[in-house]
Amino acid sequence: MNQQSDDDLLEASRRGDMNAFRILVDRNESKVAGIIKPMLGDTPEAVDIGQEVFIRFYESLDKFKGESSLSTYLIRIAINLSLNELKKRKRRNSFFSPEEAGMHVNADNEQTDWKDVLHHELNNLEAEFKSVVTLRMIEGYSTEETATLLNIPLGTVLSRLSRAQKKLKTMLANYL
Amino acid sequence: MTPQEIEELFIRSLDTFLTAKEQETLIHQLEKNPPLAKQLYGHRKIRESLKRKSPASFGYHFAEKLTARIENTGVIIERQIFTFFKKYQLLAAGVIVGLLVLNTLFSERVTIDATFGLDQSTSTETTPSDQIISFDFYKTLNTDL
Repeated sequence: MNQQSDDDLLEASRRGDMNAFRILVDRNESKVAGIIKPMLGDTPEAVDIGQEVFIRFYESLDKFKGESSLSTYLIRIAINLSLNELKKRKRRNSFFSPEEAGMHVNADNEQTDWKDVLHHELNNLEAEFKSVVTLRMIEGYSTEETATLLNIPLGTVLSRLSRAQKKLKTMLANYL
Repeated sequence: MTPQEIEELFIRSLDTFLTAKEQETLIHQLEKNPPLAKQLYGHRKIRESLKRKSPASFGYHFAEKLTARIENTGVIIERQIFTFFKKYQLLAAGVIVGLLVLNTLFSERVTIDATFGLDQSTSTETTPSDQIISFDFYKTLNTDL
């Protein structure tokens, strides 16, 4: 069954074949995780949101007509759910300190790898920057693909990338 | 060109193609200002470090855990109900209309309340006086029995 096309597996999933659906999940897990984990961090919430993406997809199997590729469809759900989760976190963090909200990384420790600091600083970026950084800088989508996935103009992607890049460089001034 | 303009051009070169003239300008400016070129190298270092080197994952048996969750939380049934109504929406609409028509036919008055079964019908029928049988407890229990 692993050799079957996505279309065949989709059709089988619509008929209630959970094995076919499981294969679709396996095929797309890494793409979805590649979006959610950089945006939400390596946290249990990230896994929950990952599950939520595929549950939403399962619920809308009949609505998916294949206008875009399956991975594009899933990535869009992943981005939307991640942005919602970031909004919730922002509200939560306005009541709790970052340490209480579980976002503390010991950035002052001299032994800390600067790449860890980089990923920590990524958490401090605003949601609008995080999504472009994740798609373009981490996952390596082209600027055009990033614009399509986020449904924003190419110029906006370029300007957000530039601003995010400068912010990261300023945050990491002591490590570069 | 100011250092900020050169930085802007350098960052843009990481995400999009520069025109031949822009490329030439950038190279010329970086050659002219090695400390700035070294400083701008930090941008490239950030990019290289951020780029994913191995596939991301949600951990072992993600798909199995997910399908078990779907099977155990009634998502399948919800989806089947939705699919049923989507597939047979004409039939479902017909059944609902049929029930409303029956309701109207069997109601005494044709009103919206009656159609939706919301009226409180009261009986106006009375028994004719010649058909009323009197019943006297004392007489029936003590005299007749």
